[in-house]
Amino acid sequence: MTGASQAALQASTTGRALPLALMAPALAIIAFYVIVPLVCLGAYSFWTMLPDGTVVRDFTLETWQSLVTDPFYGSVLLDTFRLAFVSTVICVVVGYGPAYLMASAAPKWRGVLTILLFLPSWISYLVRTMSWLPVLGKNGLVNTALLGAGVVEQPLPLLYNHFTVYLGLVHYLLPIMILNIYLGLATVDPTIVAAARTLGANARQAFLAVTFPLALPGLSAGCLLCFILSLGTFVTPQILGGPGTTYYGNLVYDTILHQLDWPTGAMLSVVIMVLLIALLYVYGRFMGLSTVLRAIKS
Amino acid sequence: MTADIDIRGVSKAYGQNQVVHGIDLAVPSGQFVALLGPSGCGKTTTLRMIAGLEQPSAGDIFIRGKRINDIEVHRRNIGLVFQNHALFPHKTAFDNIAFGLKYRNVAKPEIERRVKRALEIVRLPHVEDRLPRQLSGGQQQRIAVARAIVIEPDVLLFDEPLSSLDANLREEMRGELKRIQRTLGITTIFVTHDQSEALSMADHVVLMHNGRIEQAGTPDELYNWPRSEFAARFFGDVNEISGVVIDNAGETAKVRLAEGAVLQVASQSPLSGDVKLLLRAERARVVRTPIARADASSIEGTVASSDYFGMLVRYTVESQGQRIGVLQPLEGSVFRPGEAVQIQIPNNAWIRF
Amino acid sequence: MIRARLFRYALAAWTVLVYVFMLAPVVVIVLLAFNGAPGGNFPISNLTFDWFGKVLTDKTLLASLRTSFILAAAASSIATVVGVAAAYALARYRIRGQTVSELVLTMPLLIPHLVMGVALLLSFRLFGLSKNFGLLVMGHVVIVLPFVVLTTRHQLQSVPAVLEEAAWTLGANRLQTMREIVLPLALPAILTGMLFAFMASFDEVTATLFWRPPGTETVQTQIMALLQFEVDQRIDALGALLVVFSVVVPFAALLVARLLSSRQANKT
Repeated sequence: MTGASQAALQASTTGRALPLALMAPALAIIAFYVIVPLVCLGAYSFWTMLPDGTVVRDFTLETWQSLVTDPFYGSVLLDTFRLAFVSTVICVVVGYGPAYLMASAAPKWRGVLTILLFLPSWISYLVRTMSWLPVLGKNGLVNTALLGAGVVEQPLPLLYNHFTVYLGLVHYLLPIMILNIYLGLATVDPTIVAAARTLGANARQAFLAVTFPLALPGLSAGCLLCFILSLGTFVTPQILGGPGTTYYGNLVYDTILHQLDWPTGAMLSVVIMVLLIALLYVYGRFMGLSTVLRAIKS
Repeated sequence: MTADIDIRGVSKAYGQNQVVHGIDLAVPSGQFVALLGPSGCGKTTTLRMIAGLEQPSAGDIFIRGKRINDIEVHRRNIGLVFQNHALFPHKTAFDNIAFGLKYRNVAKPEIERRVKRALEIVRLPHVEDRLPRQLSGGQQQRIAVARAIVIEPDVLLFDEPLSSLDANLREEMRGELKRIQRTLGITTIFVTHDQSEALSMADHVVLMHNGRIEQAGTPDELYNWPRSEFAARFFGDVNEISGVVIDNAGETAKVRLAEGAVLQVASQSPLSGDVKLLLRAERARVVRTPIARADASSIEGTVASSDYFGMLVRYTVESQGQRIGVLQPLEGSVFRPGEAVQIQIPNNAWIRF
Repeated sequence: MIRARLFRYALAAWTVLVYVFMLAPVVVIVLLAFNGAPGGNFPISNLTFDWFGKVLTDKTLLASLRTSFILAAAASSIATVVGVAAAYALARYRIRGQTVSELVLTMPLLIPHLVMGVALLLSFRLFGLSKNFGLLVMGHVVIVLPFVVLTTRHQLQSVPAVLEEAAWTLGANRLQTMREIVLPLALPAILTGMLFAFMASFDEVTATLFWRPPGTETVQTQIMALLQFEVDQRIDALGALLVVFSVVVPFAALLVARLLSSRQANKT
C-alpha cells in the first residue's frame, strides 16, 4: 500500500510546504554552485580577452572560431576521444571475465572478491596513478627486473608517453567497469539460464543468447561511465604523460591556470559539456534514462 | 444512542479520481464491523480516513460524538493494525507495544503492567524481549494487535491484517481476533476482501463497491437476502441462468430455459419476459433420480467434472447448454463424469433482481 | 565437463591477474615507503621508517593533511545535513518534478571535475569574489552531495512509510517519529553516505587545483606539486599513509557497523 501511504503523506496536514522545504537547501546549493557557474562558463566563452590579460564583456565569436581554425584543439580533442574509446574497450575486454567470475561465484567468494574490487577504488585516485611511477620508471620495478634478468641492456623508456597514460587510465577505470558489468550480470535470473540449458543450449550458447543480452544494461552503463571519466581526465595525463601527450584535461588546465586565457578555457569546457550531454542523450535514447541514474547509483 | 463511530457523507477524491462517494455509516459501541469489498472499492481509504492518514474531501467523521476531521493522526485515540504488522524492527516486542504509552505520559510501572497484560490478552506472555525478526508471522501480527490495544483506544481498526498470513494461520487468527475484541469490547472496524472472513467474524457487514456502500447488514442478511446482483455474486459460488417466462400466475412462475426445460421459480414480484436468474451452488442438489416435489424443480444434465473436498463435493453439470456448479454434502459415492443426473432446485432458491 | 572445468580455472587465473594488476602498483608504493636506499626506487634495501618520520614532522605536509581533513569534514557534514533532508523528501513524497529534482541533485556526478573547477572559478571572478576556504568547501559540498543523496535515498525507501504511519497512530508526532523511528533505521545509510562523501572530498584533486586560495594545499594538491620535482621519497611515505588510511577507515566502519547491529540484537 505504499502508493496510498505516499499519497497520504502528501495530503496530510503539513501539506505541500514540507517536502519543498526539505529539498530547498540542496537544490539551492546546486543552483548556485553548479547551474549558475555553468551558465557563466557559457557567457565567458563569448567574451573578449584584452592583450593585457583582463577580460571585458564584449561579445565575440573569435574564441569559438579558433576551435575550428586552430588544428591543435581539434587534434587534442581527437586524441582524447581515442583515449576514451580505446580505454573503454580495453576495460571491457579485460574486465568482463572477472565480473563474470564474481557473478557466478559462491556467495562467500563473492564477498571477498567484492571487497578486493572496492579496495583500489577506496585508495585515492592520485596515489593509484602515481604508483605507476616507481613501477615503470628508469629505476623502476619493471626495468630493474628486466635488466637483472638480462632481457634488455638499457632501461626502457616506459614512462611519460601515451602508453603510460593509457595504462594508468585503464588501471583507474577497471574497477568501475568490472563493478558495472557485475551488477548487470547479477540481475540475470539464473532460472532463465537454466531454462535455456534444459532446452538444449550449451554453456556458450546460453551465455550468448541469454546472459549477455540481459546483462547488457550493466555493460553499457560501465562503458558510459568510463567514457565520461576518460574525456575529462586530467590527473592521469598530467602525472604519467610527458611533453608529447596533451589531452583535453591538460589543455584546459593549462589554458586557464597557466595562460590565464579564460575565454578560451571556458569555450573548451563548454565544448566538452556539450559533447557529454550529447552522449548522455544518445545513451538515454538507446537505453532509457532510468538506466543512467541506476548506473550512477552504483 | 450515540454511535461510537459516525461517518456522514464522507467522500474522497484524488484529483479527478473519486474513490469514495458520500458514504454514511454508524457503528454502535462494541460492535465488530467488517468493511468488505473487492480491491479498489474504497474500503481501505475509508479506514484510513477514520485513522486520519487521509483527509476526506467532503463529509464528517465523528468518534464518540466528537468531530475529528481536523484532529491530527497522533492525537486521535485510535488503534490501527496494519496489513504487514508494521512493527518497528529495531525495537523489542515490549518496546513496540509500549511505544504508544510513552506518548501518553504513562508512568513506567504502569507501562509495564499494561504491556504485560496486553501480551497476556494476545496469548504471548514470554516474548517481550524478542525483536520482530525473531518472531513468526502469526506472533508478529499478535504483537501488532497488542500494540494497538494497549493504548486503550476509542476505536480499533484493522487493515486486512490476515491477508499476508498462510491459510491455516489465518483461520486460527480469525478466532483469536474475535475473542480479543469480545474480551475488550472495543468498537472495531475490520477491512477485508475475503467474504468468509467477514461473514465469520463480523456482527455487521458493510459491503462496498466502487466507493459506495452496496449493502449493509448482518452476515445472514447479506448472504441470504442480497439486494443487488453484485452483493449476491460476492458471496459464495453463484450460477447464472437465463430463460423466458412462460407463465407467471400466482406465486410461482414458470421459466423456460434454453433447451426447453421448465423451472418453477418462486417470486414476490411478477416476472415476465426474459429473465436472468442467480442460483447459489449449495442450494441445488445433484441426484440420480429426483423425488417429485411441489416446491422444487429438476432439470437433466450430465456430470462434466467433480471436485472432491472430503465432506463436500462440487459438481459441474452440463445442462441446458451451460455449466452449472453444485456444492453438496457427500452421500455415498461421487458421481463420475459422463453420468446422467438430475439437478434438483427448490423454487425459492432463485435470486433475481 | 572437463572443458567447463578448464574454462573455470582459466577464468580464475585471468581474474587473479587482473586483480593483481589493479592492486600491485599500490603495494609497490607501500613497499617503497620503507625503502632506505637513496634514489627512491628499486632495488629496495635498508628497510626503514625514516620517510614516515620525515612526513610526520614536515610542517607543510602536516598542514596539508589538516587542511584536507577539515575540508572533507566540513563538506561531508554540510552535504549530509542537506542531502538527507532532500533524500527524505524524495523518498516519501510524490511531488511534481520529482525526476527532474533527482536528476539535478545527481547531476554533479556526470560533470567532469575539470569543468566544475573551471566553471566555479570563473563565476567567482564574475561575482567579484576572491578565492577563499569557504568557497572551496562549498565546491566540495556540491561534488559530494550526490553520494549522500543516492545512498540515503535508497535506504530511506526501504524504511517502509507504514512504520511512520504506525508511529503516528500510536501518538507520536512527526518530529518524534523522525527521531525514534526513521533516523535510527536510516542511520547506517546516513553514516555510509557521510563516509563516502568524506572520502570523495579527501580524494578530490582536479577541481581543488582550480579553487584553492593561494597558500592553501590539500594533501592531494601537495602531492601533485611535489611530483613536479624528481624524486621525493616523502611522497611514497605519504602515499603509503594514505593507502593505509583509505583501507583502514572503511574496514573500521564495517566493523563498527557489525558491532552495532549485533549489539542491537542482544539489547534487552
